[in-house]
Amino acid sequence: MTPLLEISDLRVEVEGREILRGLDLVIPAGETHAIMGPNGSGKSTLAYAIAGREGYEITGGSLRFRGEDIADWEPEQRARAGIFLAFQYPVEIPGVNNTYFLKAAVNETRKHRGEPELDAMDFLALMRRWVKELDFDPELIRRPVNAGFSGGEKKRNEILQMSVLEPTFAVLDETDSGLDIDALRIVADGVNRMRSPERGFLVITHYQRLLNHLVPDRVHVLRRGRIVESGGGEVALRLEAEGYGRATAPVGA
Amino acid sequence: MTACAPADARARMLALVPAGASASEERRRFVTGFFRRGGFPTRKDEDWRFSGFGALGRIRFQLVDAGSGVVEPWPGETAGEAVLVGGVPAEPALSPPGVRVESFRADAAPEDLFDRDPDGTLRPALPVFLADARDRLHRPGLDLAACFRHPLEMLNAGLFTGGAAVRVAAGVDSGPVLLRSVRGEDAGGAPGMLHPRFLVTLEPRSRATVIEIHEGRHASRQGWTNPSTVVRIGSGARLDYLRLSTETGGGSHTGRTTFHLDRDARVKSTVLSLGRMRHRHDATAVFRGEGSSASLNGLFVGAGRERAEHHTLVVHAARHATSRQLYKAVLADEARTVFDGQVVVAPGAAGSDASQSNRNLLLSDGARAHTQPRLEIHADDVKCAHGAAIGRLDEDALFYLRSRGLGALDSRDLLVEGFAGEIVEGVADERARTLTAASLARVRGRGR
Repeated sequence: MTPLLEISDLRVEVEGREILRGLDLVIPAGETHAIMGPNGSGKSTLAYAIAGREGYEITGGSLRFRGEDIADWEPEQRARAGIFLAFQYPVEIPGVNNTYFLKAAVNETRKHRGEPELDAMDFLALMRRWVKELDFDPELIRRPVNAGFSGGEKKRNEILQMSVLEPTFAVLDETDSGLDIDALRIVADGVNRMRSPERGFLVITHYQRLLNHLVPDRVHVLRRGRIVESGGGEVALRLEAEGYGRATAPVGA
Repeated sequence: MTACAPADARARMLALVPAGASASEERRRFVTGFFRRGGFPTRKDEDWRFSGFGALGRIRFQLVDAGSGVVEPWPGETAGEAVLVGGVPAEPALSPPGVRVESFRADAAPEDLFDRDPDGTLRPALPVFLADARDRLHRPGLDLAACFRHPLEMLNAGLFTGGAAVRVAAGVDSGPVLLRSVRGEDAGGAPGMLHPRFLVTLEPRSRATVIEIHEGRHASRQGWTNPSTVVRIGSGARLDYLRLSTETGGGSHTGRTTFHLDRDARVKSTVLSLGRMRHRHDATAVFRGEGSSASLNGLFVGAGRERAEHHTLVVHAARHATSRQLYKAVLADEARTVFDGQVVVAPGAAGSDASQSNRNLLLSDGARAHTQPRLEIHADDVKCAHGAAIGRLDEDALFYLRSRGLGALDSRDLLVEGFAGEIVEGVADERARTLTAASLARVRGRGR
């Protein structure tokens, strides 16, 4: 069966500097993978490369989503096809209403799928359900996107958006950083609730603690732009205990 | 266009002071004074260094007349209304209960709308800027008279042919009152000038919403509109003021609004400069009473070679007054803008709290914005903050929106609307919002 995400020998340059240097990663449908690694190892670059951010130039290898090469796709094409990125630093957009923005996003995806657009009433009902489910402050959905939100509120807003948009594959880029234990649980629950045989998740994290709540099928260690170690939950536990020092040499190198 | 000596220009302007008008002698003195002080300001004048209007001095203006202009009714709910066409009343004004709305011709202005000087001289609420130098605002070491000496104000005071006045009785809530000035027609093919004059008075504890509109088309690029609005807000009164200019034709529009605030008075002012013009608006707020506050906001949306300048002057002449300024511009093509924001905290005005923010969004390489904060603080125990930004659309925000499935163009549009939205969202008037949206749609299309 075609994996959901298939990355082979991926090379990505940012401002002329090679950050990802031949990265291989396969995530089958139904699985949740975690990527850990020290600062500067390329974790966020991988997230942006998957989401299609301008300036993250793919110079080699391939990036496939459900068997299709998406390397040349615009970010919105990827989103409509079912890829979601929960940002490490969600952007504040003063003047753009959260609900309006999310409704537009949902309807773009529905249009892409050939489904009828949701009207205001249906969309509000959907929002209300998720706001309750995720224990999100209902006042915040009426405010401009992320404007004046606390760090935790921004991360919750990412999970709210993910829940409403129902992506097939989601990348969570250090969504746990800066969260207290309650917020962490909400983020983890938000993902756990969505896990299904059709969906996949890539969880980028610095800390093992998120993986207590969000148990991954596999854990990969990223170092200097490559996966240097892969394994089960025990990898994360060992990294937590020993740090990144040991996982230096690429596997099989 | 023939160049002519200043003396000619003065004689021509003096001849245009409406004969038989109340205080016509005083009005002639304004015109004389205007020329004595140097006439039309040029870039050499400090307050006009970004763009002078010296070229206006070489144009042989006639006052515009009403012509046969038909005025479309303003959509939306209004409690009161006064309409001027070509500077004179076009139809009877409409007054809601407790509010007096009048439109008038200069030769038949209702005198009791105006103030008298202590010596009994009629002061048709014109020379406020001069009066201020004499009255209690005066502080040693502070040349307030210079702050208020706006040359084009003097010309309006001398040459207005008509205007409209609103007086809201104490404790009354006026509902929305419209003051509309429609450009009219150039007389006999000569370039037309128009000097409408508005007076707004809120008696103590009253509330009012005033929507001032300048519309119509200039027949040529030599056209000029020079409106002036003087607002007095009594103690504890609150005013919501919207100024909308949508004139087209590429002429010049130089307007002023001056707010005088008594104790605990409040004003929220929103200036939407949407016209396709060479545009300048000066908003002045003078805190005369303790605890008064002003929120001054403005938006310019420009494309092509349009220009708009927003100049503000906030005078903290009383203690514990609060001023907030937020001015924005969205610029496409080679549009230009200037924000010149002056805050003066007079000696003794302790507890003053002033902030000022100017943000400019450039949608093309050829667009330019210039921002100049001027803070002059003569008191202790004062909070004063200012910030300015000139930039392109935020790439992070664009990617964020696109990563949720919004198209690249839709994302740009949403960001532009969001940028302007901060100014527009507080505007209740539906027509003003529609016009702003239309202006934004026009510049958005060019920014791509």
